[in-house]
Amino acid sequence: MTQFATAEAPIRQLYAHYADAVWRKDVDAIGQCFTPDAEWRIEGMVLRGRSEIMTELDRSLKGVERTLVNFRTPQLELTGHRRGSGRVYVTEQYAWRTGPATMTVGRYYEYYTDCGDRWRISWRLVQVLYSGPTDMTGTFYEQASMLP
Amino acid sequence: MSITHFAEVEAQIRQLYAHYTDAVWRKDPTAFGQCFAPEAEWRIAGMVMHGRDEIASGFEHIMSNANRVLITFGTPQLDWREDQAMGRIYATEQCSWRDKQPNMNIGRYFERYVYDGDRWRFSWRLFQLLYQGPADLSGPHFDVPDFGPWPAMPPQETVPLPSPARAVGWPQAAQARG
Repeated sequence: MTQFATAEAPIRQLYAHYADAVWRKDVDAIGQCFTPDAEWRIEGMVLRGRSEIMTELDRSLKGVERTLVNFRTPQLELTGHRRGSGRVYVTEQYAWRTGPATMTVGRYYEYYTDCGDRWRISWRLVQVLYSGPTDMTGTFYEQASMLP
Repeated sequence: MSITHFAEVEAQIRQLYAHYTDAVWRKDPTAFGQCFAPEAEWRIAGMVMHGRDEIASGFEHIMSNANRVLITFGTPQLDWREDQAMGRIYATEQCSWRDKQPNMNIGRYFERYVYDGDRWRFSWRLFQLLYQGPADLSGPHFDVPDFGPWPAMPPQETVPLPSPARAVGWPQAAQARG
């Protein structure tokens, strides 16, 4: 249990760093949440490596005034020495430069690596489950349900 | 830093946020005050409140106009050395008022904590109001100083800009001091 707690706390720190960096639109700080060779699979794209991830984030954040990311508690599994996998539900509330605010509900499947100084994401698959107004009157998406 | 000890400290500081959220919902100034060290400083909306008693009084005053306030804290970013720690955390406050429409705040706290024997408490807090308005985020977002990525912290003498909506009704005794 001690081993689990000592991994779970820094992985939640990783999410805290990520949410702070996204609010502040600090692409460098977001990039530091990923390993140099990380892979991010989102909306039909496969982004390979930290620099490609940062480039795409820099582009996507340009139209946003602010984004508030709220991570729920991740379900975690330690998969080996300094490695783990997880599944986490996420809401992202977007205030756009133009137009009304929107929200997504997403599910992230992830692999993490303890890089010594901190844990980082080495692989992430994003499933968008809901997209639309913040009052949940928008569109829900059916996604492939992975095993529990 | 021992990572085992970090996990323990992090869990205890999250307990502090749980106590705080409960005290705010219940509008309990005594329990709210217990979240702060006796000599704590709370910097919010152009004011600097000094000491647990002044903080508890200020809290009681503002909550007298509230039906309920539901605070949801994110996960704090933390750094820790022995019996002191510092952190940065985002919070949403869903506010129901007696005399005006409900609103939602998004705020960011920069904080210092101290372990004083039985639990962790706030010793210094700086609040930045980032958003205030309807829950659908159609209200104003505020430009506030960005102190950089964690673990950067603002200078301890920083006074946050006053927010009209937040400042109204707060006791004059709590106005920022030179």
